[in-house]
Amino acid sequence: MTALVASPGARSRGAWLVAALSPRGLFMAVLFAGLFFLIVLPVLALVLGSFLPVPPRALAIDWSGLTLANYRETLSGGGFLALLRVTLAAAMIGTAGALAIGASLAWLAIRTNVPGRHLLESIAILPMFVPPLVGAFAWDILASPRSGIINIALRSIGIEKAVNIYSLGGIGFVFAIYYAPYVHLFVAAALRNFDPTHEEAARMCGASSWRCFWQITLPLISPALLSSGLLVFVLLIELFAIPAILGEPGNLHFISVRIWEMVGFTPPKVNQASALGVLMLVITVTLVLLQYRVLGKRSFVTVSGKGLRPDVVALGGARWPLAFVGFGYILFVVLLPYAALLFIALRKNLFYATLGALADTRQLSLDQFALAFSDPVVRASFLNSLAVSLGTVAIGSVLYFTIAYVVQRTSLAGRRALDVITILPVAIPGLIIGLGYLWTWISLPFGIYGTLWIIILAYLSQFSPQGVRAISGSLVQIDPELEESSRLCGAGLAYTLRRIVVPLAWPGILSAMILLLILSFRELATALFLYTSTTQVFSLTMFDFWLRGSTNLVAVMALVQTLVLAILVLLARRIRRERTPFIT
Amino acid sequence: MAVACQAFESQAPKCQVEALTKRYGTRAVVENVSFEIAEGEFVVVLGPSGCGKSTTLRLVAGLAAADGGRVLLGGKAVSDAASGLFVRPERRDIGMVFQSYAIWPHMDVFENVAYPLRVRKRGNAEIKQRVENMLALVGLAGEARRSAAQLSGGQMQRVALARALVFDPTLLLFDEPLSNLDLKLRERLRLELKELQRRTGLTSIYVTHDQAEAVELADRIIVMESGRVVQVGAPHELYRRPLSRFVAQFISSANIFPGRVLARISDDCASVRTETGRELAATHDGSVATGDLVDVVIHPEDCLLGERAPEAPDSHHARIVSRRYQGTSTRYTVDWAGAPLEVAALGSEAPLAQDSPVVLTVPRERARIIGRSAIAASAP
Ligand SMILES: Nc1ncnc2c1ncn2[C@@H]1O[C@H](COP(=O)(O)OP(=O)(O)OP(=O)(O)O)[C@@H](O)[C@H]1O
Ligand SMILES: [Mg+2]
Repeated sequence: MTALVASPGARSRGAWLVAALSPRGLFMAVLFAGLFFLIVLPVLALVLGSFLPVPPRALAIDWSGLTLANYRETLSGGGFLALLRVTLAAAMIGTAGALAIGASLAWLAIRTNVPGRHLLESIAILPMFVPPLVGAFAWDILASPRSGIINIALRSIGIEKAVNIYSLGGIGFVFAIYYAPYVHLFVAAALRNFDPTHEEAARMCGASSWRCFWQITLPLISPALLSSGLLVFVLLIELFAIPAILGEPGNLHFISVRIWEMVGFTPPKVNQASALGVLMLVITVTLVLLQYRVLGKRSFVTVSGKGLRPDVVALGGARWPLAFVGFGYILFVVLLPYAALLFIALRKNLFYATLGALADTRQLSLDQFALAFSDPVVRASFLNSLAVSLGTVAIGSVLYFTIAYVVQRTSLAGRRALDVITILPVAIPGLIIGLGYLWTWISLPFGIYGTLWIIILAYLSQFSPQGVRAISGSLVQIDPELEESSRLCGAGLAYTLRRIVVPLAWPGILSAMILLLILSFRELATALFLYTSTTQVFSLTMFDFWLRGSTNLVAVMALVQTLVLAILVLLARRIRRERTPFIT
Repeated sequence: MAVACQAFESQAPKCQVEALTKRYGTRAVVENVSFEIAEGEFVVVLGPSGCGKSTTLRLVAGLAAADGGRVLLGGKAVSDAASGLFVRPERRDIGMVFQSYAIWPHMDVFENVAYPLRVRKRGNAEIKQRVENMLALVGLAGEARRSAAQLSGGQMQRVALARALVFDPTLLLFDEPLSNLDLKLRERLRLELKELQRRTGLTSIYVTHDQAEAVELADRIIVMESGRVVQVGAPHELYRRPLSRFVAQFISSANIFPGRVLARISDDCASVRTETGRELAATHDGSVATGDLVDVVIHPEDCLLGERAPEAPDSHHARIVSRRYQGTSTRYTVDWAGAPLEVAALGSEAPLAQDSPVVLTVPRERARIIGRSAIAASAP
């Protein structure tokens, strides 16, 4: 580790006080204070609120009123157990599906001679770029039991009520297809790094290829399966958008949706909602800790330094059928939903009950687009989203860079703790962060509540794990000697950062910025408790319109949002490709 | 160079390191290291991998902070653990060449070399002038606008050197600058480096684990072993008068065998009986006493082989076990009192026959006795 900002050697008693009052100490203190406000305080406020009998009021906490009543109320009766059962069951179905889909696609793309495997490898993660809210809208349009397009089509050939997206299975399916890419990424990395001699050795010992798969390949990639499975499981428990759209019509109630209802519906029950939120937090934190333990034990996945791609498995006659399944699946889960959204966006009236009515081209027009673009709420919330996203990116890139630099490149006391705090939000659902912010900022006497700033701050805490990790990733690739030589050339820290570190880390910083832009442009749950009529963001407007039945408008907005995001992703890929040759 | 040090006595040494200590966790990686370097001296820090050479250099550069001890440059303290004084690396006016060269890939050759001058806000004309002179000096004239990312290892090495020299630093540090190059290039750059240092007269500290490099470049060598300085001296001093078995082994491929002092012959000579039963006379530094357990160091090229059997002192009966003819010299393994000994005979005459008896002469002034516990550092 470099010691660019070295601490003085004296370690006598009281030295820590001197250290704390030095410029470095003050700098760290400010950083910690910032993160405390951003991440820790909201969680503490939420926990405190869950023990209080009354809703939050400005700094007026009645400490004598601490009570367990909220928990008692939440846990008594069958209510909580039913919520837990539905939430866990859907998450389990989704995780199992995601594991099956993600692992098979990874294996197909990396270890077999399926035609077009390189293309398959790169498009397999496309579903990750479909925002969950948009995916939920699309599958509602496609597969709702009565008016879903798929059901109408099947009914015309005599099959009644074929698919029901409002069921546990249906929601688990939507979960699975949009979270399979996470599994794919983990498993593909493990398969790519896989040393093929392990398998070859087993074959030389006389094992059949079937036996070899079960006894060698699977155990070796099982850590990747386990940790990606746990990650997906946590993300699915935390998810709000899909359960809110697809759960309620089928009378399936999820914890996250219930929290939203408790706060949003009159009479608001913020304290009970907080108790439910804390219970949810306990579940997610436990699972995340579990995941870290699994990740920590991953060491036996061997990396062969030769950089050889493992031998591919010849599929024989199954080559083309499997290619058909693989590519067909991606088209099915990415293109079909957008086709449905486009269809709805172009259609004048939404009353169709037969295939004939669906195919009526006279019903198609661009009116909905004109309507959406001229709607003041849509326009205002688009601009709000843009402002929030840009604000998040501007502050986030500086903040996350500072944290990543301190953690990776200095020997400042407390940098480990800094690292831990910034990854905490992995275990905090966006909805819960939002609720925590509600508690904190309503009781603090600053006029932030009701402005876009509170949404920006909540996003900054919610996205800190992704942001810091992306920038750290590019910092660790820079040889510390590149910085040290600058220092010895006489350049101070600021000059070195400006002329050496930032230019070299720029591709990473830039992709972190675009990632932040994407995440904050599409975020729904975190903003759910933090907006007012003037600070509504785009996703919220979509969600709101959907609840009010303006399906056409929602479809147009979903297309617009996806278009904006797609442009950003393409931009990110371009920049990455252009700038990476620098990194050695 | 000990003489040179005396000559500059009135003036403060260019670089002083006093009782430097650095710990990582509870492990002391550098422990109580002290040395002084005079103006214009080229000092090599030599030791096996992991002994703390780089860490020592980084403490001098200010890239790491010591847990104990002081560093003085030109008589002024730049780091003092006791008082908490720590001058940041960019204020120390030290040039450094790194093992990885640390050439910035987003700048071309010119900008890399110009960087220290730009930091110091020099005018464009001056920068151009000095960078071009420097590039010419290291043999890169005309390559100024090449992208740094396309350079070969040897060229990067030269750019790194030019960058370290361009701002006239008071001290130049090298951390294994040649270890990433192939053997031929390494030998050539070694010569160039020595020549360049002679011309610029820059005080330099050079870290390496390669003893051939150390012996060729150094005015003085500081030998380190697990975080401590075990001996300091000119190359020939280390070669002739190693203070410990470790130094003898590290600096040369000498024969070393354990034994016991039989009797002191004179103030600097004693007779020794080795564990394998050889008896011989050898020199010592005056501190040994009869009965001491010691090691005896004999360099292969100090031994003489002859066919006759003169009754001269220091002669012993031996037998040739094997031989390796090497053109300008021949190396023999001889059997002396039941144990092998390596001998090198210079010249290209026909080698002695295998299995033949020979007379082995080990001049007493060339065989060296070292005490078993002599690890103390010697002052220059
Ligand atoms: N930042 C660090 N944290 C912990 N241990 C360290 C650190 N830097 C060095 N060490 C340890 O200190 C010891 C000395 O390291 P140093 O780099 O000084 O060795 P060296 O003599 O330069 O070796 P080499 O010839 O391999 O470069 C090593 O055992 C190393 O593992
Ligand atoms: Mg080293």
